[in-house]
Amino acid sequence: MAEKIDFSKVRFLIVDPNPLALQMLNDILSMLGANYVRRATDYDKAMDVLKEGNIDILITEREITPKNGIELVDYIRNDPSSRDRLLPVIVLTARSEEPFVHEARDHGANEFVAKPYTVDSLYKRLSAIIAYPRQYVSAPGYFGPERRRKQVPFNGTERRGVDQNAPPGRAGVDQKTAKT
Amino acid sequence: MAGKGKVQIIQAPTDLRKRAVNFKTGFGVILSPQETQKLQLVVERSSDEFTRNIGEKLKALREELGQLDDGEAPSKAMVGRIVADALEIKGLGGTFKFPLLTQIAKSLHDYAMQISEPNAWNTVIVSHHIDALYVVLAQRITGLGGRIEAELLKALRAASTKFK
Repeated sequence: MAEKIDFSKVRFLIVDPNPLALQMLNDILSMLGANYVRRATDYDKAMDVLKEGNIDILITEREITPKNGIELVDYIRNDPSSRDRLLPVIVLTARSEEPFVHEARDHGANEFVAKPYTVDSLYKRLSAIIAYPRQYVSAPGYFGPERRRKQVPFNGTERRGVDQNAPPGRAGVDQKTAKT
Repeated sequence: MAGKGKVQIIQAPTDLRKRAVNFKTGFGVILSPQETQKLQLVVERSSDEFTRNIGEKLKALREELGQLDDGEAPSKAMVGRIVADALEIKGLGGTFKFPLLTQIAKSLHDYAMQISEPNAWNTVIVSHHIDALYVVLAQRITGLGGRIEAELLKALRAASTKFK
């Protein structure tokens, strides 16, 4: 039997300065079955809701004022007063160029959706966050979800542990793959 | 408050999954075509409002630009509004099956973003973009249009590069 997602159990905060974009997102979530959707049109209103707690997923536009959506992610991930540092965040933005994707990822956003978006693309990110949550990493200069996505099979010699088959001299380096 | 010193792996939180994922109610983890269609209807219902909303914005911008004298530069405040409106149209156009609006709005947004000291050329280039957006919306040109629309977009981009 296939797994399903009951969105009536998920509490959302959506942030967008554009009323039409906000309404459409709200309508999509309602159609999915969500009945707890808080809305905010700017950074300060979003902060008020976040400080109350009781949010499971934040979906925010990057271009909000007076601070931007990435600063909102920063607050969630790094501020000592943040109520939930592991809160899943989707950055849903019209600033869709590559540097903005990297910026969102490096500040700890879980997912990035470029506007204009399709309901399918948004749903895939929501589904990933709820059904397949990623582990988090706390490292110098970064706190947020694991940024590596793909588990690529590695055919070379294991270098990170003790490798019994390692040739002498250059322990663990696969001679064939080392010529790069 | 990123980690200090050591790298630490924190297990993925599972409480949301436990609460929301089940085998009985809700939408599939992977959407079926029927479910996708159902959601798409929500977008289509907002389409008329989008057209009206953007139409009003473009009309207001056109009027504002029309009030400028020949050779007059737009004010910095006006440029700020153009940047904001262009980004909004860029972000919504494609969702409502107007990808050409998104592309023209992107060209306008990129152009307006680099204006630091407005000049008369800015008025001309911005006006051409807004006229093009207006025509696409008024004629309801969904999709990317044809050869003429492609040429128009190319010309707008070329003009944007040349007349800064």
